[in-house]
Formats: sequence, C-alpha cells, structure tokens
Amino acid sequence: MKTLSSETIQEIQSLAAIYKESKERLMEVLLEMQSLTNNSFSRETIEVVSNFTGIPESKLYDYITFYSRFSTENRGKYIIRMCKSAPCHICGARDVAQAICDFLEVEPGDTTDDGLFTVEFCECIGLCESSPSVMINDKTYSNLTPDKIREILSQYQQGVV
Amino acid sequence: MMEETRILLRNVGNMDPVSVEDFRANGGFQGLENALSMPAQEVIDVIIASGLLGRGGAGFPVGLKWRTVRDMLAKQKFIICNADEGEPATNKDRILMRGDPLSLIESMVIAGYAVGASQGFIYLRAEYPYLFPVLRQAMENARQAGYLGKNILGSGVDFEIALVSGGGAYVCGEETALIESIEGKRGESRFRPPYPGVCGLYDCPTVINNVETLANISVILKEGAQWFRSIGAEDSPGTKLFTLCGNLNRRGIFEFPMGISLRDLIYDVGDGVCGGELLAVQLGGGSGPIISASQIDIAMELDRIGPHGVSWGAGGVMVINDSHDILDIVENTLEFFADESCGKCTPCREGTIQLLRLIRKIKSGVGRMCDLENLEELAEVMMDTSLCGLGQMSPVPLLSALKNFNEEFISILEGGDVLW
Repeated sequence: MKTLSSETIQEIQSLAAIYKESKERLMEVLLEMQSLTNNSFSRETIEVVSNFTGIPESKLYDYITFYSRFSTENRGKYIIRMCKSAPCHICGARDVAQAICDFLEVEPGDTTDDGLFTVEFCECIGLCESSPSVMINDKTYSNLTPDKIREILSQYQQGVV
Repeated sequence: MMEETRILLRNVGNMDPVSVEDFRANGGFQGLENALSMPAQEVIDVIIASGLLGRGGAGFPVGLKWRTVRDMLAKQKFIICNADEGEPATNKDRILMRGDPLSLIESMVIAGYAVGASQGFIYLRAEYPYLFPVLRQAMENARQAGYLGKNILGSGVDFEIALVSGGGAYVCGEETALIESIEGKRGESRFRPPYPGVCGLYDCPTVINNVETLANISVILKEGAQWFRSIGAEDSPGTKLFTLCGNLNRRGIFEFPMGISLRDLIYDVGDGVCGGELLAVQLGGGSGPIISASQIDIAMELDRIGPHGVSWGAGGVMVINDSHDILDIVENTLEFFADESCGKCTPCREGTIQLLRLIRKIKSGVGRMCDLENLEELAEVMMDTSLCGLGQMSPVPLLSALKNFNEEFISILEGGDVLW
C-alpha cells in the first residue's frame, strides 16, 4: 500500500538533491527525511529514498539499522530519549524513567496510542553535569524529578510546548 | 572555591559566541594571524615545543600527529574535528562549542595551514542538535569576515569546513569509525595501521583531533609555546577541562591547570559529596577506572598512568556516594558497552555481552568463585585482541572495581548459594 503523499515524496526528492551535491551530508539528510515520515523508515520510504539517491536499498538498511537515531518502526511525534548512562543512573534516572512510563502508560520502546510520544532508553546525551536528563526531540530537560517530568509531559499533551 | 584558570573557557559566557567582532575584541584570530606570518613547518614546531597532548582520551602528542600528516606527499589532506563527545561523564566539548565556536574554527584553519589541508570537517554528535545552528552561524560569520574560505586574510591559503552529523553511535568517537561514518558508511572501526595520519578520510592523510585539543591551538599560537609550558605540569602542560558529575554538591565544567589533585576537585571545586559518604570515583568517563575513596590523593596529569595502566584522558570525574552498590555501577557500564559495540570484531561484540552476563550472575547471588577468574581472563583477551579502543577499554571499569573493591565481590560470592 502506498502511504506517502506526493508532497512528502517531493520533500524527500529535494533532500536527496542536497545529498547528491555534498555526500558527507548523508546523515543529516536521512535524519531530516525520517522526521517527515513518522520518525521512521518504512519499506516504502526506503524504496523512494533509494530511487532518488541512487543508494541501493540494502545499503540504506545497512546504514539506518546501525545508527540509533533511526528506526524502521513507526514512532510518535515526540521521541522521549531517557538517558540511562552512569551519570544519570546514579542521580535518579530510574525513577524519572519509571515516572515517564507510568504517566504515559507505556513500556520503554513503545508509542502511546494517540501517536504523540515514543519512549526510548538511550545512552549518554552529554548533559551529565545536570543529570538526570532526557531529551524530547531536540529539546533537553535536566535536573529532573518524577514531579518535574510529569509536569513537562502534561504541557506537551496540552500542546503548550 | 579555588580559582579556575580560564584559558579555554576565557570567552565562554563573556561574549556573543558567534560574533566575530566580540571575538576579535577578546584577542580572537591573533593566533591565526601569527600562524600565517610564519612558514607552515614553524607552526608545527611551535605545537611540538608546546608539549600539547591530545585531550580526547589517549593523550598523544599533537605536534607529532601533525608532523606525520605534514610529511606525507598527497594531493589532498584533511583536518577532522572530533565533536562526537559520547563518553559518559564528559561534556566539556559541548560547553566549548556553544560558548566559543570561533576559537575552534580559528584552530582548525591553523591546523589546515600547518599540514597543508584545505578541507576540514566537524563531526558533531546527533545528541547535540542545538549546536548545529551555532556552529553554522559561526562558520558563516567567519567566512564573511575573511577568516574561512578562499584566500584567508589575503595569504593565499584556502580552508573550508563542512559540518557532518553523527547518528547516535558512541563508537564513532573512535577515529577510524568516525572516518567511516563521514564516508557514508556504518561506523565500524578499521584495522590500524595504517593510522589516519597516513591513510585516513577517503584514504588521504588526515589529522583528527578532539574539540578541546583544537581549542588549545589558537591560544598557543597567540601566546607562544613557552607561555603554554609555564602552565600545568612539566610533562603535561596546559589546563584541562573537568566535567564534575554524579553525587556532588556542585557539578559542572571547570578548568584547572594539569596536576590539580583529585581530592581538591571533589571537596573544594565540587563542594563535597551529597547524599552520603564517598564510595568511589570513575575517572575519564564510562571507559575509565573506578577507584575507591582511599585513592583520591592523586594529581591529575595526562601522562600519569592510572590504575591498570589507563589514563583519565577526557577529564570526566563521576563521584559515587555510598548509597550505591559498586556491582550496580559496573553492570551499568557493561550494559553501555554491550549496547554500543559496533559488532565488527568478535572479542568486543561477544565479550561485552559475556562480561555483562557474568556480572549479572554474580550480582544476583548465584555466582561462583571461578566466575571471577573467567571475568579476568575474558577481559584480558578483549584488551589484547579487540580492534579498537571501545573493546580494549570496556573491561577497565570492571577490572579496576575488582581490584579496588575486591571485598564487595568476595562477600557477594561468599554470601550467596555458592558451589565451590
């Protein structure tokens, strides 16, 4: 089944043009493409990207399944990355992660039913001096407590972020 | 608190980070002007004379790395800034890039001139998305002002920088994996030799330096090698950025001369341990040694060999209070490496998982004394035979904890349902 709109395909095409100009921007271009398509690469998207870039589908799979920023499963509008590396771990990251999962009623790796959030564990996001920290898409949240993160999440749910 | 020696952090928080005017008013680009006024070989001589050691972890002499690339005959050479700061418990490079990106750009141009490279790359980790616009704007402003691009300051020297995104892989902080990633491939480490200085990006001679290392270049060219040597320790000159994190009253990024004592970092700069008494400190990041509270009277110098022959290179200081169990910390670090191994070489791919299984077995109380021997033997094989630093260093936290907290391991083994 074809699900990509013609607008999305056009955007993918213009991003592919950037890659053809400067090959070292592959990562940036694929990350941008991913954000247009449910924060993931479906089989269909891979085909389209392969056609425009000339990169074989197998090589695209090889690439995107290596880097943790990519996914082949549909993800929510907001990806919550919960750091579990040691500097966060010893400052209460486990409680914050539990609070996030309880609040959204999901397990790590899951997407909420409304498609708003995907909750993932990740390794160090470089905010160690203000741990525990999480990132929600490109935004950083530090010095978290269960109460603080619940408040932040409800702001996202109300659309005020 | 002890007064910092803010050399690398001199501009951070004091100016508009992307403003060329502000940067020049603070003495910016003088290092580049000095460099361009001398023969390229002399720039390398200055760096060698300064004794600057790499700040990314390994502590290799920077001038020697550059000389290797300078001496290579090649049509094209490259400068890469390693901004893939993935080591847990270090985020000094983030602070430098956000607060003073122009110093980094200035230093990269100097490096390009010194070794004869006209193209540079900054490989920035995807976890710092908010830094991409900062670096782009800084590069654009430097270009407009004639400090980047064609014919820099009328010297006939060309240098361009491309910003490349990481994809969320710790291993890409390893230089050859990083090069593979820029080339549009999976970030899997290469066999070495040949080293990047001989055969790096697109098989061309390549200088690859960490952000903090490069940040030292412009200031050394401005103030001179002798001035630089007057700071810090004799065999490890200059200042170092420390990331103080974990169970401390005061956390953050601080700059001190090499040689500062770890005790001072914890009790003076960090204002002491919070939430309990000091149990342990992990030095240098996730792949660094874990030492006990009785071992903190050491001077932080890059050339000093730490426990198990490992230095603390990247400057992470993670303080752990006694509400934590040392086996839990070790398990956490081993999980990290099992997640982040690229999978190319067997000792690292399989070894990280087996170490994790063994430590979980011991932690859950069903371990046997022979598990300790197996852990040590496996760790030794990984350190000897892994392809890159990730596999070679991943057993360090475990081995250092085994040595420095031996009683904890023994008491769990003895307390459990042990079959001797």
